This record gives sequence, C-alpha cells and structure tokens, in this order.
Amino acid sequence: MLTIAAVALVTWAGLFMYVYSVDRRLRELERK
Amino acid sequence: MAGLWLGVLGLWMAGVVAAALYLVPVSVEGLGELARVIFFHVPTAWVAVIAFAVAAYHSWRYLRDRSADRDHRALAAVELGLLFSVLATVTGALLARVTWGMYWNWDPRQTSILFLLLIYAAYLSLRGVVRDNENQAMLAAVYACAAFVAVPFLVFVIPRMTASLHPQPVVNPAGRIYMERPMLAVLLASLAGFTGLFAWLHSIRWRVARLVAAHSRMLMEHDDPEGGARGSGRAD
Repeated sequence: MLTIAAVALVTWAGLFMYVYSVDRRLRELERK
Repeated sequence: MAGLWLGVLGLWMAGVVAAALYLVPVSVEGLGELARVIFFHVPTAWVAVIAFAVAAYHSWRYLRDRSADRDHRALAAVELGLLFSVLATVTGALLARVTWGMYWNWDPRQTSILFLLLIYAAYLSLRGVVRDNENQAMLAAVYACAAFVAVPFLVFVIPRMTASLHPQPVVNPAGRIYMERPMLAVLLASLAGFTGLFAWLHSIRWRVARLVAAHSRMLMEHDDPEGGARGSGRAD
C-alpha cells in the first residue's frame, strides 16, 4: 500500500500543480 | 487569498490521500485493503449530487434573470457532476467485484446511477442540438431544473425501495454511521476535500466558458459590428 499511496500522492501533486497553473493563467486572461 | 485557500486545499487532499491509502488501518469484512476505495467512492458520489444541485440552482437563477454567467455555471456543474458520477460508478464497480463477484450486476444503486448519467448526458446532447445561444441556454435551464427532480428519487428513494446488496450508505434510514472512528474521520475529511475540489474546478470551468463566450462575441463584433451586437442578446 505504501507504493500505491506514494504514486497517488505524486499524481495528486502533479494534477494540483497543473490545475493551479490553469487557474493562474485564467486569472491573467481575466485581468486583460 | 485565493492562493492561500488553494494551498490549504492541496495540502488537505494530500493528507486525505496519505491517510486513506496508507496511514489509517481499515477493517471492513470481506474487502481487505480494497476498503480504502470507500474513502473516494462515497465523496465522488456526494460531489456528483452536490454538482447536480448546483446546476439546478444556477439554471433556476438563469430562468429568472437570463444572465449568461448562470448558464455557464450550470453547464460547468453538470459536466463536473457527470465526471464525478463516472468516478463513483467506477470505484463502486471495483468494490462490487470483490463483494458481489462481478463489476456490474444491475443492483438498484448501480442502475440508478446509470439513469442519472443518462439523464445528464442528455443535457449535454440537448445543448449540442440547439444552435441559438439564447434558446440553448433556456432549454438547458428548464431541463436541468426538471432533471434535478429525479435526483433525490434515484439517489435516496428508489435504491431503498428494493432489495439491494449495497451496504448502508453514510446517510441511512437509521441515521447511524457504521464505521470505526479513524475511518470515519478520514471519510469526513475526504468529503470536505472533494467538496472544496469541486468548488475550485467549477469556478475554473465556468470562468473558462465565460472567457470563451466573450471572445466569440468579440470576434463576431469584429467581423460584423452591427450583426455581432444584434446576435449577442445575452447579458454576459
């Protein structure tokens, strides 16, 4: 389970950073 | 402020993932380690219902004030509701494989979520076949309000009216939660985390739709200044 948990955490971190970058870009576009 | 909120959400969900998949011991008869899927199955089903409720709310508001923002919010909620319904169905099928011996056996709960998926997939189809923006938004809003009437029946009533192999969900007729305290704590944390995640994704999705609509309107006005202004009768 440790391996699965580690893979899930890394996946979550990757997804979170990706969606966060989309959100940040969206805010920039909204300001324009 | 948004950055702080999102940082808390990211750390919260990381904690939920770590606790759900490793830190918290699980003890559900017959499921073994697969019981950990419950920490994701219940919240995804919960968020799906919340999403359809949000879609109905914004659709109702759209019918009152005809604001395109309300339409964008309703559409975003339906899309996310469908996504979370699929996740709940898939995680449920994994649990069913272990407890019932097969991924799909037309249990009342499986059948009702399939109906829910079809009902809301039809919402997207409806939007696809109506070209005119204003008519599309109005028909979709009426449909989303009518569709939500079916949600409580499909989620809470029909599965309880017939014999089901599905275990008692978190909210059951007895009003009790049959789970050990550490598991319950993680489940509640997961419910809160997934609700926050839905709020975030919903906000992004409808803001993207709003930007796309504004961009299309700008292009139309650029191509045909008078026609573009006439064609966009909605208040964005």
